[in-house]
Amino acid sequence: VVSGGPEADPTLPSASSGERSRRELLTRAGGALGVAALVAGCTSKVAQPSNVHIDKNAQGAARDVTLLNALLALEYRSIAAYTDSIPLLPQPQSPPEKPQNQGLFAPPPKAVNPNAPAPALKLMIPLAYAAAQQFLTQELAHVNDLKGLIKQAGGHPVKPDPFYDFGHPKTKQEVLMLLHRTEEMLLRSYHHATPLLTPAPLRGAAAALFANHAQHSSILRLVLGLPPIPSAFVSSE
Amino acid sequence: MQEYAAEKSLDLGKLGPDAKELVLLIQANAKQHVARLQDDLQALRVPARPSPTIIPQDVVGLFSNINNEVSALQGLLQVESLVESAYWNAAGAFHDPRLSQLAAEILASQAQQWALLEALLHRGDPTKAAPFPYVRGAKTISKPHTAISS
Repeated sequence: VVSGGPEADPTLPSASSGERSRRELLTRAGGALGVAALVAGCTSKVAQPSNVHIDKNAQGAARDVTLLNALLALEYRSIAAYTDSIPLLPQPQSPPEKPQNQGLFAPPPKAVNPNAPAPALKLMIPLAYAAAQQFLTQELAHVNDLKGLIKQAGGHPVKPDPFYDFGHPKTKQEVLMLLHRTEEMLLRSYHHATPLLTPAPLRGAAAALFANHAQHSSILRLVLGLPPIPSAFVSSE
Repeated sequence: MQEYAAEKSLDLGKLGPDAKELVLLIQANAKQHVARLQDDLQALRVPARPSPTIIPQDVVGLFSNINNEVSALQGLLQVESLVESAYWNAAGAFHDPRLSQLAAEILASQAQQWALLEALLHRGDPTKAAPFPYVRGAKTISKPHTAISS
């Protein structure tokens, strides 16, 4: 169903010791989100506080905090994974320069027949680099939202781990597989947590994040050459 | 509603191979969603509604003027957004955790379909395929999504 994308598939260099120390730096608490936002190329557009009202004295609030903190910990991990992966992915080429001969002596543009049928649309493979940047931006928004929900429920958001071990992916395929595994882990966790959250609106908030991760997974699968929608139900099975 | 949208798009006879494959997948998934919901309603001893014989006028209107692949996909996207909204509301409204989980599973499936329809319309642009960090759908039929020319 897919047609060839514009990306080459070069073998990527393995992470050097310098890159590993960068990884360590990126994943340290405090600095991680800011650097990740820079890699994503976006800082302000993603901040969207949750408007779900949670009563911190309600029964089940403590368990909700535990569940939400578990999701937050995984979101931090995914931010670290995307932050590490983006520099390893082939960057898109710059747009082609405009042709020089655009003056009086330029050849006339080809005539376009307005009645000619449009060519059939092709499902193009997304650029892995652009997809990872987009998804990182969204992971940052998820973190903001989860932190807001945890505070509303009377809890304290967990902090990111000081270091995440993602191994040493060498090829574009390996980098994308790492991201895909990360998204699958998130899907399983949201799938497990969503029905257990106590107030119904909180389940809706979690479902909205779960569905966004399902989109990430689908697009990564498309880039990896896997069926993008493997099932009619997105579950942990 | 989604089966109707898929059927109308296929009946047009102007879908390219990729669009046709995706619409057939959407149609097959919609049938599975309906079957699962019917099973769950039966388990709850609630009679399932028969297939609606009347499709909402807004949805009929969407497909009365489709004349090419792009307009068919745009109509499907708009229906997809409505369906997403219904499942998102259901996920946050059910008190039975199992039903809430099922609604979330179907919402996520709809979100994937939405992403691929957008990817098809926008040459695989991931910023169009997954533009927002939250998937909540649309309560009403929104403006059609434009496609970039090839």
